[in-house]
Amino acid sequence: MTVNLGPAGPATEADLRAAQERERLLAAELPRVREAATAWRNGLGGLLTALVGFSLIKGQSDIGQLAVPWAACVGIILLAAVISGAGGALLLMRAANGRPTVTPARELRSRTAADHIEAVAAAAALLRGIGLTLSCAALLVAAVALTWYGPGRAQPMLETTTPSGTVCGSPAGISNGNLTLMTAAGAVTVALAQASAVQAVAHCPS
Amino acid sequence: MTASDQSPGQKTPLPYAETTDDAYSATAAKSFTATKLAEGTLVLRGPCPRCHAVIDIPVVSSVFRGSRSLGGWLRAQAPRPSEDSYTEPMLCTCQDDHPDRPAGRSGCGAYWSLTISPAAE
Repeated sequence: MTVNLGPAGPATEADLRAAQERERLLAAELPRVREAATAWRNGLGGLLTALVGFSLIKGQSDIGQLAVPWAACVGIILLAAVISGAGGALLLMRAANGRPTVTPARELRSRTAADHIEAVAAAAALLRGIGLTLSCAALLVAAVALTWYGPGRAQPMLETTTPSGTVCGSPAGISNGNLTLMTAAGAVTVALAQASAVQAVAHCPS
Repeated sequence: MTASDQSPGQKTPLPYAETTDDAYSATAAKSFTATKLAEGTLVLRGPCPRCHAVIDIPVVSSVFRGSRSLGGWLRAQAPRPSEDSYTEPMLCTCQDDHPDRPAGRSGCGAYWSLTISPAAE
């Protein structure tokens, strides 16, 4: 889009002050963005360090105890948290320090305008970096919550056939040749010497 | 041009004076060029109507002021191209030597306004 410039009415002192204020704001805009980005980077970095490094939140050490689809969910959420955290960290560093690139000399038109364009890009990176880093923290909390509150892996069941009938339940222990099974009706002890068959089943018949 | 203005080629530094003149706006409208560097960022370049130093004046649609303004700044990030013309206050921002210039200020003190309107395609 091209623009036309035309004369305006008489300028007032208010116009002068507005123009001076705009000049002051633009001159200090990029340092303000860098300063804000550095503060956000340090703050969010500290938050993540506290969450992960000092174990403010801690999941179960063995997610193998979770039901298979939930354990996979935890893995996917942790992967998303790592990607989100890495992306957020890169964006926050980009906002705080700029991109390590070289600008073609022919594109250097106005330093103030170039600084403003960089400030706009840095502020956009800062905003996205904040979002990604907070997402990373939220995903970490979600993953930890899943390890604690997700449904556990189904216990293996044993079905034993004895002359007095079939008993099915989760094994609770063996002692003196007796197998104790936790059934829906409670603990049942079966003498293994009398069992004609012992087999593992996924679910007990109801 | 007023009596306090500098003629082109004059070597004596012009004293700083916050002043305006109806002719400044008309002169700048003729001599300034506008370049769009990015969405929402125009640069007007031309000679100051008073001291004749060539200056760049950025005209921007939004400015980052601080983290508190981050949300508002984001919403202002994609300004729709204005269909209407608007008036922009301008001032000389040259770095030339102008006696009596207050600390922290730039330019010779001249100020004026320009009307910026989208050109017909």
